[in-house]
Amino acid sequence: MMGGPASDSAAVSPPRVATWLLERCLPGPAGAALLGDLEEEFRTHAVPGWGIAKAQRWYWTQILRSLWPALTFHVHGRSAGRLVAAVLLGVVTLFVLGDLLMSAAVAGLDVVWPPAGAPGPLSEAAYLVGMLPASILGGYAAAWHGGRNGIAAGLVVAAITVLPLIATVLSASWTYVGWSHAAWFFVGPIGIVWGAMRYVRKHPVE
Amino acid sequence: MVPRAPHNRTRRSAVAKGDRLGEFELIVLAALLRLEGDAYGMAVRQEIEAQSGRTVAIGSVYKTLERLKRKAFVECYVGDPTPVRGGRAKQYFRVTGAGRGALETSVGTLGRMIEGLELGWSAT
Repeated sequence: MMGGPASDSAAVSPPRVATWLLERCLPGPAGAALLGDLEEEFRTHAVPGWGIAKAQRWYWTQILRSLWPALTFHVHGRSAGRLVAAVLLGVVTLFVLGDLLMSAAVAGLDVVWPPAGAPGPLSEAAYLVGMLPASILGGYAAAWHGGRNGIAAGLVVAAITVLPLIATVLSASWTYVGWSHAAWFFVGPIGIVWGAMRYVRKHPVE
Repeated sequence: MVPRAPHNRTRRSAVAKGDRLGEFELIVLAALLRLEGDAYGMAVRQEIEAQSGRTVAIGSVYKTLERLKRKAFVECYVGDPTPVRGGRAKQYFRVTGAGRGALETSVGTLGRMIEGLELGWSAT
C-alpha cells in the first residue's frame, strides 16, 4: 500500500512527530485550526491523490515551511519589543543564575574554579550543576515574559547561548573546560527550549 | 513619456501607514473574496496555488490572515470540529468593509502606477 493511492484514507493519520512539532510552536486556537486544515487536506486530498508516502512528505513539507510563520505568528509592533525583552530576561537569568549556582556548587564541592590545569570530575560536575538548571530556568523566564511568543523567545535564547560556546570551541580556552562544556553545548539549548515549552504548556495564552 | 495622473492628496492620505497591504496580504484578501462564504485556511491556500501556480505554506496563510484580522480587514468565526480534522474546529474568514476598501485602494494605486507604461505585456 505504501506509495500507492489509499483505499481508506480516513484511517491514515498524518505524521505525529510533525504534528507535535507545530503544536509546540503554535499552541491555541490558531494552531488547532491550522493543523485541522492540514489533517483534512491530508486525508481528503493528499492520501487519495498521491498515496501515503507522498502525502506524508507533503505533510512534512507543509509543517516545516510553516514553522517560522508559526513561531512569529504573534510577533508584531509592540509584541516585537516584548519578545526582545523576553530574550534579554532569559539570557540574564541563564547566566546570572548559572554563575550563582556554579559558585554554590564550587563551594559545596570544595573545588577551585576555574581549574588551574585539566579540570577534575568535581569541577566538571560544578559546571553542569550550575548551568543545566539555569538553562531550564532561563527558557522558563523567557517564555514567561514572552507571552504568546514564549516558544520563540526560548528558541532565540537557545540560539544566543550557542554563540559563546562556539567561540569557546574555537578558542584555546576549550581545552581547560573539558567535557562538561561539551555536554552543555548540546544539552543547554535543549534545556532552554524544554523550559520554555514547559512554561507555555502549563500557562497557555488564549 | 508616461502621462501623469493629477495630484490627489485626499486619495493618498486616506490610507494610514498600517492599513497598507503587502503583496501576500493582497493575494489572500482576493482569495477570500473569490471563495465568498466558504473561506477557511485550506481553501485559501488551494485557491492561491490554483490561481498563482506558486506553492504556499499553510502557516504563511494563517499568519497573513492573523495580520489582516488585527488590521480589521477580515473577521473570523469558528465552525464545528469534525473527525476528518482530528476533532479540531475550523476557522472561517470573511472580508470586512474596511478590507474591501483597502483592497480597492491598493489595486487602484497599482493600476495608476502601471497605467500608460509600455511593459510589453498585458496586466490581465
